[in-house]
Amino acid sequence: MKLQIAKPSIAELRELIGATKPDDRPRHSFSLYPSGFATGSFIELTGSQRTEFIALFLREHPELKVAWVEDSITINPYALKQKGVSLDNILFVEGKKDTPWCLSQIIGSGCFQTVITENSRFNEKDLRRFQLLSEKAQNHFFLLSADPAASWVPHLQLKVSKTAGQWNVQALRKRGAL
Amino acid sequence: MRIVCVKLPKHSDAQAIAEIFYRATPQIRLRHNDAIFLEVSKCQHMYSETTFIKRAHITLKRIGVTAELAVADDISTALSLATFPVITKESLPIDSLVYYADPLAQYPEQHGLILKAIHLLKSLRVRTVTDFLNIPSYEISPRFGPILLMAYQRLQGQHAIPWTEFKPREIVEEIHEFDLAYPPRDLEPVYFTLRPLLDKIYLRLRGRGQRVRQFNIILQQEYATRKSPQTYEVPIIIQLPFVSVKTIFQIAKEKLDAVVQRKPLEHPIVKISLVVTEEAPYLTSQRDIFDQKKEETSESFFHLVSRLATKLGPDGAFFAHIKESYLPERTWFRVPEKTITAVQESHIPERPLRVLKDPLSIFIQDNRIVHNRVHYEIKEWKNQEVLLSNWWEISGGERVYYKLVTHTGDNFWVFKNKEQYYLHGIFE
Repeated sequence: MKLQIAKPSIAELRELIGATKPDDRPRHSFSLYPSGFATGSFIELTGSQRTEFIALFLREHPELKVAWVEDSITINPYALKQKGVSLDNILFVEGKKDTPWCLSQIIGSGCFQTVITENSRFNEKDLRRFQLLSEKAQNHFFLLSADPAASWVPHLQLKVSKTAGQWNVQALRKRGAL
Repeated sequence: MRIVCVKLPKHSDAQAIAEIFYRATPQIRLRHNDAIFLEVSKCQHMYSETTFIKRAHITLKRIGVTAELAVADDISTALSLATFPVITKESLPIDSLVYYADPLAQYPEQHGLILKAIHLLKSLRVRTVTDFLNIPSYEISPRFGPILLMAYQRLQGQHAIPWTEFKPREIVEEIHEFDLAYPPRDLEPVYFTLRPLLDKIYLRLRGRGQRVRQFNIILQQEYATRKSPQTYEVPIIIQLPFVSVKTIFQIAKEKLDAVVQRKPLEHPIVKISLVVTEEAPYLTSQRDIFDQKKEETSESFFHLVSRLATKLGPDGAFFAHIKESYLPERTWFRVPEKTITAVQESHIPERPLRVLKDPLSIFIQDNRIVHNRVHYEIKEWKNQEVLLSNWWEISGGERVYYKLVTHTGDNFWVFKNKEQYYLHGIFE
């Protein structure tokens, strides 16, 4: 009799060891990403249209209190407004060399439901701290990067682009139940 | 007319304390640093006399001042009642004539005469002001001099003291000098002093309908050194309103800790002073008693923003205020507080989500653009737009903007000015 080796998928193996837990965290829906974003998640956005992608998310959720943190502000609030984003709930922070400290304070304060930042030489330790803080504060942490980070920390890595008005959203990596 | 007299302990700063009560009444007079007189008859619709006295006691306790308070129809009686342990004007001792003769202590050279006359009255067994009033008025001047005649008439309700305009100090400053025998060498005793000083500054500004927006903490060391100056100046920025003194104290403590950690103190501290450098209007709002969580969240939000502003500077944390302009660098500006703007329809063409602070000089050759050491092949030049900027600026004059679509899907916003191309934004 020939021995047959069954090769289960990673998902099946995870299920077998009980590593898949139902995610009951509240989610914010998004038309461009139908499964939505769970609160307390670390999401890395890459691709040529990453800022517009996040702007559209904010447009769909004008009630969210947002902190937009950058080393040196390059985001154009006027363009955000042109995209239909309400600026009333957005606090902009120009962190300069203290950006990691600012982000820790902002996420830890629990005053914001969404924190957006650009990847500025954050090390693994910084990213892990942001992830833990955002999990604790139950907010979305969006990291906008030109290229996907090699870090294991983000729960979700998305590459977004737009060609001829058509959005292309590609999930590069998912971690946990996202 | 109803006058409240606040009789202060020795070495008090009456002017500073009076500023706290400026909110209740603008009619304030001082008797040097001894007493404050507040004319409260106009604010009786808001507070009864008893309530006012209770509130005043709490306020004074908050700044660590133990004062005697009394209410009467005139300045002299209020001061006398605050000084002597009696309830009615009639039972005031004869010593109180000092306050009737010169209630504001404006004529110190005559005090000797007044005391002499009081001594004479006591020897004549005139013990209270009621006894004094039994003397016929025509006998007062020849027997005791004109100064006691003035006191006599004031006792009878004549010669009211005019109210001059009370002007709060232009610079709000609070100073505490430490005991030179035991000057503190670390920050712990400084914090114990800082809290009441902050309370006092907060209340003084509140009295004028203002709040602190920026202030400096100045620590003076005993000696100067060659390396460092004698004083430490630490600016604190309170970006948003309705921040409690507790929060201001936390922010100040944090900042002081950080500064001293970076640059340790070399000598004991002899003096601490707080100087308000910028004020903002105090806008009152009713507390939402049904939503305590909202209040707490707002407080923690204001706390956070103030901490960020103290660390990063006043422009570090801000809201964006939109202004319609064709020039991309003038379409928005930073505001410390949220401003409600009317929704306007934008007639300006689409602007990029990323705009560089300073346009970056770039080379475009053979339909190729180099940005961040990466070559991009231009697929399309579109959305041509001509803008005119101020001629004195670096990229002033005419700017011809283009949206460059590359083969990789990136969209750059460049302009041509004086035969040179600049990258100004990215449609990201």
